Amino acid sequence: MSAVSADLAEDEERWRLALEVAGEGVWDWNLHSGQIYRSPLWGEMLGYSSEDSTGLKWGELLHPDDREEAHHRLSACLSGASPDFAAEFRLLCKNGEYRWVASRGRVVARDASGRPGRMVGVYRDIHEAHSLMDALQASERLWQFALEGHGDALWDWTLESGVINVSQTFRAIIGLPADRPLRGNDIWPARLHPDDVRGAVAAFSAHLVGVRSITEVEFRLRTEEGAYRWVALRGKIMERDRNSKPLRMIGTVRDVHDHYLSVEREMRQQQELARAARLIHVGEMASALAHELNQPLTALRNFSAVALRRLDELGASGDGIREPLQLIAEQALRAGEIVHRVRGFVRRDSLLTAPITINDVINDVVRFMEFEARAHAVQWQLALAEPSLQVQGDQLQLEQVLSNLAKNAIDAMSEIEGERLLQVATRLGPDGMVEMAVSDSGGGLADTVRDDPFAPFVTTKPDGVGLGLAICRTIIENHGGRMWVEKSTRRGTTFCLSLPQPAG
Amino acid sequence: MNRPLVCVVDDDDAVRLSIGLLVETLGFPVRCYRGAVDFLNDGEALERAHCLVLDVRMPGLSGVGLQDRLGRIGQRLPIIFVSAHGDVPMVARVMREGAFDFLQKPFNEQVLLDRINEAVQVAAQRRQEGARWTEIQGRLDGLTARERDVMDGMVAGRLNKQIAEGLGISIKTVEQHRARVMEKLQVESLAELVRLVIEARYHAD
Repeated sequence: MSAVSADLAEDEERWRLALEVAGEGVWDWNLHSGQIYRSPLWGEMLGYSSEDSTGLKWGELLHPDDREEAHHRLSACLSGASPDFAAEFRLLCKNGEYRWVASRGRVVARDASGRPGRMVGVYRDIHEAHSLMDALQASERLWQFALEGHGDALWDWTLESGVINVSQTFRAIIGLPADRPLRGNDIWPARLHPDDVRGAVAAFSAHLVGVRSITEVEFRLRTEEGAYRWVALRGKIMERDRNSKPLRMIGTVRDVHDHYLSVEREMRQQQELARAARLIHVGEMASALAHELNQPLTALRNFSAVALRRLDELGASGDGIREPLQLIAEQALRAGEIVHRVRGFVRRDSLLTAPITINDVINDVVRFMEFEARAHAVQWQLALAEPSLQVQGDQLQLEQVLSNLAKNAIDAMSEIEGERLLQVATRLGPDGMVEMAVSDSGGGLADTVRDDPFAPFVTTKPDGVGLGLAICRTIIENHGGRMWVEKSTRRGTTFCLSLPQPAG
Repeated sequence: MNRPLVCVVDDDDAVRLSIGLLVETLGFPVRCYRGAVDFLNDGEALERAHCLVLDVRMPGLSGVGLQDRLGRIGQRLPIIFVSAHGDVPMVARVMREGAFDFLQKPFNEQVLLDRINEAVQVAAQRRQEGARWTEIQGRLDGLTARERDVMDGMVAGRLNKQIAEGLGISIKTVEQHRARVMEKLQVESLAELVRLVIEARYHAD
């Protein structure tokens, strides 16, 4: 090495040290050999030891979002299109986080054809400054967001502590005095309508985990007077920590109570209309069904009658078959009568009532449902008032109601492990009406039907149409009685009905 | 002589077959038809049928329409209507038009069989009477004009002398005609003759 070059090297070393002391690293890149020198500061900045840092490649550490811009600027400098290289970018640290770095450089040697031979530059850790910038921008976005919701009430919520600050407009909506301080969770969940909690949580979560770019939800908030008001909320995360965990949400709230009520009323009216339309269809359906069912029932009755007559020709040898065949023939006629009555019921024909012994109705139903009960291991338990109470009614329709209730009870117990009890009890009610209770030991009414188990076309049965209980209740009401659910717990359900006694 | 034929018209295959089998248990021959027109096209059945079991509502010509057609061709066959839709105005109409009965489906088959039996008897009686009147009409037609005049006088309760004077013939001749009338009409007494002639006139009306 010559003295001149040694001097030069000494000079370079001096500048490098000076720069490093000032907090800037230097880099020196030989484009012919591809070798690059970097100050030890480089590795330290990114969290590597000096041995680790030697093999690191700048291009591989670049944040994907910054890569294109940085390479573009570097190429512009190398080609001579731009005299200097200057860029800010994020580099991957050893701990997996990215750090903002600013770099500047210049081509210091080119060959005769202008190809770059050597490039030198400095770099600086600008991470802290950049974070400050981010915060500033976030605050700017915050105000933009708030201004977007012009006229709306504002809120500012710190997630960790739950502390919430709300604007005066917000306080006015819920009647909160201006000077009352708010503690954590004071607005939500504390003031949320219990029915709306689930929807609100879902809307916030969807935004917090990133599924939605914004929280947007309507719910009811309790006012100071204890009433609930519908509000529409919009909100957005405005601060996150380094691991992008949300820290703070800001948003607006608008009072939509009056608007919501009118929409709700409209919706309810529409539902009522739809229900009425379905009920009208019931009439048509029952009429069509009556015809379609009566044909096969006629054939069924006739064929069994023919079989019975042929059996008579066989003499005593056919005796074991005669009785079940007779039952088939009877049931065909009974089914025909039911179809006829259902049709009569939807046509609002007048009821044919007579004094009826209620125990006869019950015993009849028990008899013809004996087989079904036994098939499902269900025990009948009768607690009937003796001597039997009398009601004014239509025996066939009352049998239909009771067999429907019994059928439901048997179905309700088809899944349970314990004892399967189907209880039927009668008593004289305090108002002089005869009351009948049908209880099962099943798991209680399903949530979907619990609110109104009598609503038509609502059913839990996969093949059901949801008319059974609706028809039962109408039959009982046509009798001048009532029908209701006495209890429904996880240990069983009790349906009750009342019927008038014969007059006089 | 042929046994009384029962006909069944119903568009529902199972119902038609089951009614057919039922009627067979009564020992009557049965013919079943899917539609009203098929029945109308069976001339032999129209001739021989003693009872028609008829569905009301069918595609094509309805049961009520068939009843109307039969009435217009003078076929007074007893009809038992069966229907899955019995509404009051329809029942009233077919009964007014002379239906033998109306049964709501499904029905107690014994009621149907009883009514078929009754209908067959009524039809047989009508046929018998019809045949009898045809025969009596033949006897009446065998009388000469003078014999008929004498018979009219007898039925009107006139004495031989009055009849002879009225017709300008001798009493003896009246007596001869009178004996011929009794013989031709196959009656033994004046009372029997009067009843026969009055009934024949009534039936002819």
